Amino acid sequence: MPAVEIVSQFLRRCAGLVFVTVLVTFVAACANSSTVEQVTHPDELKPLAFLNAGPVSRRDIEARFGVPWSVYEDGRIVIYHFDGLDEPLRRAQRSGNLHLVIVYASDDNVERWSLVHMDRQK
Amino acid sequence: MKGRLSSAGSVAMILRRRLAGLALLTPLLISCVVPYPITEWTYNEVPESIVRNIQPGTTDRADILLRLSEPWIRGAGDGYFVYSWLESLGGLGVVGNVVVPVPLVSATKMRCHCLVVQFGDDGRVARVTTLDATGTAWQDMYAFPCPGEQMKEAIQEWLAQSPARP
Repeated sequence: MPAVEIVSQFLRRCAGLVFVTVLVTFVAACANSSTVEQVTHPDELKPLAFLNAGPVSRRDIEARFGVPWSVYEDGRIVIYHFDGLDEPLRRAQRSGNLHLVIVYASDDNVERWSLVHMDRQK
Repeated sequence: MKGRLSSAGSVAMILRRRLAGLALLTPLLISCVVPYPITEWTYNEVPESIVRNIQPGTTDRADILLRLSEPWIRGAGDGYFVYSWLESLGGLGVVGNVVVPVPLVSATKMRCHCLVVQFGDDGRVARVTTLDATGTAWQDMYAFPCPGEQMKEAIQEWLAQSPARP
């Protein structure tokens, strides 16, 4: 077999390998990006829309989230923890530990709330 | 004479092979103990922008909790909160075994930061400060106490300096 043919065969094989590598990397990146898209809209965050919909009472909150994790100022401020999303969210370099902080007004309706991302690393 | 030469040649060949073997083994032997740098990172940092926006007499407990959520330490009667965060200033570690790297020892310069917020009887911030302390973490960086005992003492000293006024 002439040397030129050997070299060209070798190069063809290399090109094939490069193509397969690029294809696998692209598919993996696509799969990963779709995972990120899914975990950034988890079911646990859907209740936030419910919080914005209008007056929300303490009873509504407790029916939805149960007993709060922490209570401050005799129940005026409560905190719920959502820890179930750790692994996929950490893969996406986002917080895996979310705290929902709710401040009630004197009529026991939600006055203010926030979602705090814990486990922040940089 | 010819036999002697042949014997000397074979000895030289053996020596060359051994030297070649040693040359191949040397990187492996050296790489049995491989140093590696430990990068800098910060965990759960309280951003400077949040600290700046805490206004004594105006900001209340709800504002603090809405921004930072659970404190690391809740003072008696929620009279003060301590938020701590850990910073790695970098360091050096050593792994052993080439095939399966096993961390042998590491030393990392660590800094523990604490944001201390003291409240008055009206629930508003009376005073606020940040304290920090450095130390070395051997092996497990996350096990570095933050706040450590000295830092806890410093916090208590600061709290005792002038009582919060409503």
